[in-house]
Amino acid sequence: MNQSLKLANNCVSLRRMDQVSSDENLMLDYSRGDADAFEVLYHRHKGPLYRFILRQSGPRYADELFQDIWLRVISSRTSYKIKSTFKTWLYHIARNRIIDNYRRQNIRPLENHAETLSTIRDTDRVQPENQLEARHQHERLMQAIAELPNEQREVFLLKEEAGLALNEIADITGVTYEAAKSRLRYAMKKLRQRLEFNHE
Amino acid sequence: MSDANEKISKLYRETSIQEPSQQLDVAILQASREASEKPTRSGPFSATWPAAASFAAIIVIATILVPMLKHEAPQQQTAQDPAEKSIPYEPADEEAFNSYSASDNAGRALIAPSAFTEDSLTLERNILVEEPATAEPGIASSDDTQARALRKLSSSSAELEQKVPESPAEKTTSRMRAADSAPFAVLTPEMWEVRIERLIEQGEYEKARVEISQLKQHFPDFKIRQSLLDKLRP
Repeated sequence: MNQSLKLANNCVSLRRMDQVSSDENLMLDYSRGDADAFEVLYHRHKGPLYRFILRQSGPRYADELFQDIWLRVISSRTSYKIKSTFKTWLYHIARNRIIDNYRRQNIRPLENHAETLSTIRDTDRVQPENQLEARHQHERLMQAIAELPNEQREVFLLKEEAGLALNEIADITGVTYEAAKSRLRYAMKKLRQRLEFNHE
Repeated sequence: MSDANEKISKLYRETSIQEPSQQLDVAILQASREASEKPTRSGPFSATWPAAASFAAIIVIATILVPMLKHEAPQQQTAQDPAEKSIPYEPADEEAFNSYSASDNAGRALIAPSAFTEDSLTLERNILVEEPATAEPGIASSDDTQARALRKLSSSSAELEQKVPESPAEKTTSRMRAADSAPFAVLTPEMWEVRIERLIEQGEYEKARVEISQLKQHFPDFKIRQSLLDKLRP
């Protein structure tokens, strides 16, 4: 009884923290030893980050990379300073780690197409409400994303998954704002063509 | 066009629902808790760089500089020892003073003349500078010794001027006394002349000649007053 009350209190405080604190404050709190702050931060970003890694590296490396990126965040907690948003910092780490993995495995991002598509199909299968047409469209979209050039896919995912603005994307990818904007425009154009949305 | 883009975004959000496994969540959160429980600084070497740099500097000072300074200290002490030795002042020690004036140039202590007033004598006791045995007469063994002697002389001269009677004649006498008592190391040629003049007045012609020869030796470019030389002519 007492333990369940404590758990409930903990959940309430975490929820309040989730609503009130910014990512940056949470990270600073964690750097001062508040493990609950990290938990809130983790739950906020785990899904988008995981999918970003999954789409960029494929399921074979996704778990390993995901864990490694968060461990880097943990180990960098004492040196963390608010220079940009936490999200920008996190995706900066993620991008660098993904590039390291490409180099280490001596692979190119486009080699992961088949694996990425297989995970999409698995995921779709567990959704009971999926209809045949919707499923078909989802598959085509994921295939189109997987076939995008790496730079364009990266920009698309950073926008769609991380919800980053173009200037933040430019900062993470190390290109100008115009270049990031151009990459996104090309990516969207290709996706529209593949999904035949142009004439709608 | 933007409708089509929005449709793609919506479709992507509907499709993109993958999450990391629960085991992964547990592992990462566990790691974060363990890390936050660990002290960030476990020892002096894990400190941030300014603290580490300070620590390294202390070690360098303790292990290198302190032994070096200790090694140099005895040498300095040896060099300064003669200068710091002082011979107690003995009043009415006219003979000692005379022998001092006539003595050769090897290291020796200066003794104040007995004819001084009480106040000036007290001051003169402080002016005890000696040349090292190896050094040439009239040249201080080190800059430090010379500077110290100069400081003492200037302060004593200032005090003498304050304390001695006001009349010009007495002022001259007090300057002569200062010249008499000044060590070789701080004697200017003018002061030396005054000293020689005083010796001539006292009838110590031989000593005056010796002093003149010493003066010429140490200040070869200095032109000695002709009147003074005339007084010494036989």
